[in-house]
Amino acid sequence: MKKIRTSHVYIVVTHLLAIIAFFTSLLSGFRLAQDSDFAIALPALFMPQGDVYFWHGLSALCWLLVVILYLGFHFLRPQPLRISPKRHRVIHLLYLLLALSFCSGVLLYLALPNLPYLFVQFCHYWLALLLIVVVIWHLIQHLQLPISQWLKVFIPGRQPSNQRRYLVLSAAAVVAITVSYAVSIFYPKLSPKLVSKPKHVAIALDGEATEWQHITGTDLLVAQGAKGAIKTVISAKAMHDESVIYFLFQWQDSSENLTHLPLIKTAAGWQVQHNGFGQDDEIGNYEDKFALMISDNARFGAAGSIHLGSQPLDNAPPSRSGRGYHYMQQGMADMWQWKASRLGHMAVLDDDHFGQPAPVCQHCPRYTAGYQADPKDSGGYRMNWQWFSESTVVPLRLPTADAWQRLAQRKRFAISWWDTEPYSEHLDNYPVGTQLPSVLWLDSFDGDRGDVRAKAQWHKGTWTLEIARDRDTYSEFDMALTSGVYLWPATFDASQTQHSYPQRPWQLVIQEGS
Amino acid sequence: MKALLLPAGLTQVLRAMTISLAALGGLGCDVNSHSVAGASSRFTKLTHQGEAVAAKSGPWHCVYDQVQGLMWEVKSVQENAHYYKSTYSWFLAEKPSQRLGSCGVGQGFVPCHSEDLVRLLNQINYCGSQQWRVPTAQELTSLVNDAAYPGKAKVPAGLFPHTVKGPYWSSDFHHSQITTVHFGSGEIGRLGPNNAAWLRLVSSDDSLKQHAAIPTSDTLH
Repeated sequence: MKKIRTSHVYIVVTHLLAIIAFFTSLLSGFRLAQDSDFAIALPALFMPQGDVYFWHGLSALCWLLVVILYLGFHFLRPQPLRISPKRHRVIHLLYLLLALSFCSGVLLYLALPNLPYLFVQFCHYWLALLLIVVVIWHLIQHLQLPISQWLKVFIPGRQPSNQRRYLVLSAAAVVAITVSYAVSIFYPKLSPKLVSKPKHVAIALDGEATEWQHITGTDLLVAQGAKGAIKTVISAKAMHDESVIYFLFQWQDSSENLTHLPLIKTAAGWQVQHNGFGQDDEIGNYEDKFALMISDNARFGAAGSIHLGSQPLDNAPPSRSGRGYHYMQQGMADMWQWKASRLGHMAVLDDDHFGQPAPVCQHCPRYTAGYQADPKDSGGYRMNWQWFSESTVVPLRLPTADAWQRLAQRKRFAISWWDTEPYSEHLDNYPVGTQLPSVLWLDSFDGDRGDVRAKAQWHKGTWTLEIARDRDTYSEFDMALTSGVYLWPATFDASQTQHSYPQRPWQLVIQEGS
Repeated sequence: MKALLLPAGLTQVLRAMTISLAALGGLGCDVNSHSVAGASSRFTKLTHQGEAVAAKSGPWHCVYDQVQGLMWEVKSVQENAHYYKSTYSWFLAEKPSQRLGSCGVGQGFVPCHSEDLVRLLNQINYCGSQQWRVPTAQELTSLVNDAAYPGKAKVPAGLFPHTVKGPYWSSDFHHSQITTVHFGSGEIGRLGPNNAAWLRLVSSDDSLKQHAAIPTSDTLH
């Protein structure tokens, strides 16, 4: 009977872990890459759905474990590893590509402000594709061998009795596991800090940074977003008193986008000027926005709030944009959205949250899973159509005669509800080509949704946003702003849902005292 | 980005691999406990002429409840007869002129009571019915949705926008008090007729049965 060929148990374990890490990082990476213009179109079945960031991060830790195990075995084994010279080249190429992939991935995660982020991201993606080619080459080389020879890497053999060898190799395994575990526990500590200083000046919430000159800020790189290739650095500062905390955020934006889904009169009737709004994916005819998510953990993938894919949630409608949903498996995350047009008349932003997925609504056109607005009793804004349609719409309101004159004298992106009257056909004498604002301003939010005050200004390519909120609103829909919470900013450049985002959040540190 | 087409056999293999990977947890094809169930097809949206509207379409002006056999008025943001902020005193036949509610009309408000709205909707044959009335407490309670998202009015989602989280009148009158249903808490309460509360009218016209078998496909209207 032929003797079954075997390998050292550590080779078997390390090789199996490498296979698991390879497929997990590859498939999850393909899904994450879909936001980028350079990613190749792949069948949806090649890409997993759901909390894909978690798996991609876990696979990185798995790779770290593989490296430690392999190095431990390499230096501590009693005799050299035997690799056929024919397969040397492929193996060394694998080592090189894996090392470059791992390093580029770490750079992307750290996302230091001066990093050429988009270039590193491009390299990370193409390294993955090259790895596929080399792995296939590696497989082909082994499949050409007798079956007993290529199967042996999966079959552990009995080792000669040598207590010292076992102790040393076991120690290497324990060190590897401990380091991996420590990294997973302590990596949130790597979050850059946003230190809030005690306030000694009066802050006027006007979108100007004059009161903030003496405060040291911190920068965070955010990327992706609309058009798939945006890299922006957001600067942040914070001050507080015993009741209120204030933030200043600034970011570069070449244009101030206030035009928001305008209505255009055509021969067929009024139409909404849009480019994807019906699929929750408008780009271009949309206001600029800024969002800030507040969470109690820094888990990779926006604290677990991102669930990618066209249908990441069973028994729920598919995502109309095909990109996924925001929701939390447990707990909640606070989420603030400043909107340049819809809230331009008020000094507030939209106080929302990410919670568990809402029940499916059979009669609602859009399902948003865990992304929900905080409750309000009244106020805010309305969109100026009776019902959105891709073809024509009936406006909800028309400007009164004197309001129409005032509208002509400034940007026509919004109008006060009280400068309008209910739409009727006999009042609709506007010629073809007339543009009407789609944003109807009401009064201030009344309720939880108006908890956060904010005002912004755009000047010479920079948005400056000032925000103020009670340190604790005691609302079940809000996070208390205490030392230790994590802040995840995002910018929307004339886009509805495609926003830039950071890989790591700021951790808020409230410096008490004078 | 458009997906590529693959041979069916390979598609099946890849799907199995994806599901296996997903079964490790956290990936959909979801094995989690956060699956959400769809709503029933109990309700149908109707235009003000009584024509059915597809489930995810609009606008609509009334809602037909197939289970209760009732048609409900839907409120509006326009300052007209259906203005959602209008409040009404409860009509007492012995004191017909006492109008203690505030109904939005154009730029202002006028005094009103519940019978004003009943008379108006019947006069204009709203949603094809001339039998509008104030609902009973039992009928009003049938609309309470305890599964409504926290902080939202306790009505069936997506059907009754602009529902105030406050007390709505019923027709149940006992010992000088009228039963109300609060659509913020779902609780039943009582108010005297001289108070102002919100109002949603109902019709149980026999002709409504025509809506009973209407499918809720999005191909309608």
